[in-house]
This record gives sequence, structure tokens and C-alpha cells, in this order.
Amino acid sequence: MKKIIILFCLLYFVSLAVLGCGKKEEASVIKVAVCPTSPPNMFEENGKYQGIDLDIFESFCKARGFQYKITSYDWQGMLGAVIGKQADVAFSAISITDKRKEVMDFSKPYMENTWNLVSLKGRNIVVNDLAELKKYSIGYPRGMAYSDFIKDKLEPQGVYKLSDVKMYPTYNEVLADLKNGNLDLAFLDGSVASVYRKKMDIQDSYVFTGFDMFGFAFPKGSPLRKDFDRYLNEIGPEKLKAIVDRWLK
Amino acid sequence: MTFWDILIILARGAGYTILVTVASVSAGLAMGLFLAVLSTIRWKAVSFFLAAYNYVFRSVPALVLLFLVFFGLPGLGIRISPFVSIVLSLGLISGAYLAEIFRGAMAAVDQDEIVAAEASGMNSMQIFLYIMFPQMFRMSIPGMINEFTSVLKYTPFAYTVGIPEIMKEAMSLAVMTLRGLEIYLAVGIIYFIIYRLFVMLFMTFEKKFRIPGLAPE
Repeated sequence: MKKIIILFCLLYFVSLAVLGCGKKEEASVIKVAVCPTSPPNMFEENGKYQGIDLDIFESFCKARGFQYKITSYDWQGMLGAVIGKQADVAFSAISITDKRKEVMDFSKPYMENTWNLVSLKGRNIVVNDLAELKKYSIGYPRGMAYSDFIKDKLEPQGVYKLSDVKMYPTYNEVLADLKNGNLDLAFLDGSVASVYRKKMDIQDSYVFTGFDMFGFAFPKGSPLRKDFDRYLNEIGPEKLKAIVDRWLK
Repeated sequence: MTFWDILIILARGAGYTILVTVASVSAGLAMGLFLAVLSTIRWKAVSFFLAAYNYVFRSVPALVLLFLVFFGLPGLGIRISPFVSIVLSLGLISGAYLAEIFRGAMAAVDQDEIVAAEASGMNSMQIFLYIMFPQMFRMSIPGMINEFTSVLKYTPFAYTVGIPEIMKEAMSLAVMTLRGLEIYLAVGIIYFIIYRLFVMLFMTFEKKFRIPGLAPE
């Protein structure tokens, strides 16, 4: 009988000990929240964090002599960590939107996200004029923002009708159909396209730009954000573009 | 990359999954035992507290509770680490369920044995430790295994607050290799293995405390 009691006590103390292990973090270390499922901006390969966003932030920390510690969350958790001030900064290809601006502060935009219509290299489809778009079939997964874009922008111009779009459950089916030749063009966002480009022979047929910008997210009223914006100004657009292009090429 | 490689990469997260499960179940056991003992006290205030605890923690979804604890408490000036917040959330919830399991098991202890123990001069502490607790523990093992499996399957929420468990490894791997099906199959296999190991552990306990001849082998 004593054994059970001892066992219970042990379990209890182990749990207490584990609970007590939460180390105090030093104030000088910047707490970074990421969601490493956004290549090429932020991802993990062979257990190492990599990407455009990390390169930019690393150069900022090096220039200022800051230390940082990365914690990875899922997407909601990452945004929640910034809002709840559990993290000092978050980055992983976060689009700057008005809704998000209400609860967090964004840095200056550091790169633009594009929306790409991609096709198989072998087909060599190049769309120079949007009017040519009617000749091709377009596909993407259900529930994407592209539907609003087609309905609000392309349909009134008579460029493309939403009812002509082929909808799929996920990108797996979209790309399978593209490969089989049943689909001419697939709608992908620029960063996703750059990942698929490495796995299959696809090319951009048309690229929509000018409405989606990425920014670093900071808690409301963060002094770090001002410093980071200053840093972006210091290095200037050329140097920033060089970092971005290194990953996109 | 072979299926084996995928399994090995995902296994990196398994340590955190096991750690979170064990810590949460331990916290839940402590909480459940405490509540079960409380339930033997027949005060109105106590039974009101127990009922409230039960209703609240059995109805609030684990993810909601976790969000309240991790993202909500800092708003009140209370800062806790990700690990503490997931263990606290899952511990409080499984405590509510385990308390019911323990309470039922306690009620199943023969009242005559307690009267006999009183008659032989045992105090209430001794009665609990030597008469009630061993029988209660024996009877609640099946329920405890059930509760353990629910906690195990709640652990992917740990990634929401930044603990790199199995699902985190799976998601970052899936996005790089685009081999979702194989990766999530591997996740299922790893969870099965963890489950199997823990059930074996509980079964050895059960065997140890089984009364020879009373329970079927």
C-alpha cells in the first residue's frame, strides 16, 4: 500500500518539479513568434529555421547587437502571442490587413505578395493581355480569396467568370489536374508558387500585383517596431530586395 | 526521403507530447483525487464548489481554456510559461473527469469494510489510506486509461502556445515536402505507439493491484 502512496507522491512532485522549471527569460532577449509553414519566408528544414523574414530580422539584430529566441506556434497562436504580448515580434509572411492593424502594429511592408497564375512549362502558356484569359481554364481550392477577386475585379471587366472556375478540395488535386493536362492555369500565391516551382515544372503565366504586402507584426505600442522601421530605412530598398531575391531565385 | 526518415523526424516531437501528457495526467490525478476526497465532506459550500467546478471544466473546450489561460491571463498581469499553461488547462479539465471516476470508485467500496475498520480503531486518515484508496485505485484504472487517452489526443493544442510537439514537426515537414498523406499517416502511427506504451504501463499497475481470483485474467 505504501508503494502506491509513494508512487502518487512521486508523480505529484515530478509534475510540480516540471511545472517549476519555467525559466526566467532575460529582458534583453527578443522573443520571436513564428509559424514555420510559410516557405520561402519562414520554414524549417533539417531542424533549422530559415527564410527571407528570418534573414531580415537576423541582420537587424546583428546591426543592433540584440539577442533573440524563436518560438514556433501555429498560425493562430503566433498572432495571439503578439496580441497578448507573449512575443515581442512575429514574422512568417504575415499580410498587413486593416483587421490585424486594430490589434497589432506592423512594420513598413518589406515585400509584396503576388497572386500568380501558373501553368506547366511544357504548355508554355503566356498571358500578355487579360483578355486572353478566357481561352484557358483556371483552378484553385475552394474558399480562397481569389473568388472575391474574380467576382469583384475580373467579372465586371468581362475578363473571366467565376462560374467558369474549376474548384478543388486542396492544392494536391489542383496540381494533379494541372499535371494531367485537364487544367490550364492554377491560382497560387507567390510564396506558395516558389515552393511548388522546386517540385514540379511550372512557370508563371500571369502575375497580379499591388494588393498584398507582408509586414513584421509587433504588439501595440511596441518601441521595437520604431527601431525596426528605422533599420529598414537605413538599409534601403535595394539591400532589402537583395535579401528577398536571394530566396526567390 | 523514405517513410522511415519521416518517422524519425516526427519522433523528435514525441518527447514533448509524452512530457505534456504525463505532466497533465499527473496534475489531473492530483486534482481529481483532491476533489474526490472533498466530495466526501458534506458541506453545502463544498458541494456547490464541486458542482461548479464540474460544470465549468467539463463544458469548456480545451482549446478555449488554453487560450484563456495563455493569451488571457497576461492581460490581467499574470505571466505563465507555455508549458505551465497547457498542463494547467489539461490538468484542470482531466481533474474534473477523474474526480467523477474516483468518486464512483469510492462509492463502490463496501460500507461494511469501513465500519469494520472503525470498529478496529482506525482513524479516518488510516481508513482512507488502507481501506478506501487501494480499492478505489483498483476500480478506477479502466476509467483512468480512458482519461489518459483523451489527454493524449488534446496534446496537439500544445503547439498553439509554442511547444514543438509532433504536430508541429508534421506541419513544417508537410509544407516542405508536400507529402501530407505519408506524414499524417506517420503521425497516426507514432500516436498509436505512445498510446500502446502507456496502456501497457497502466496494465502492469492493474495486474499488480488485482486481487487474485477476483478479476478475470
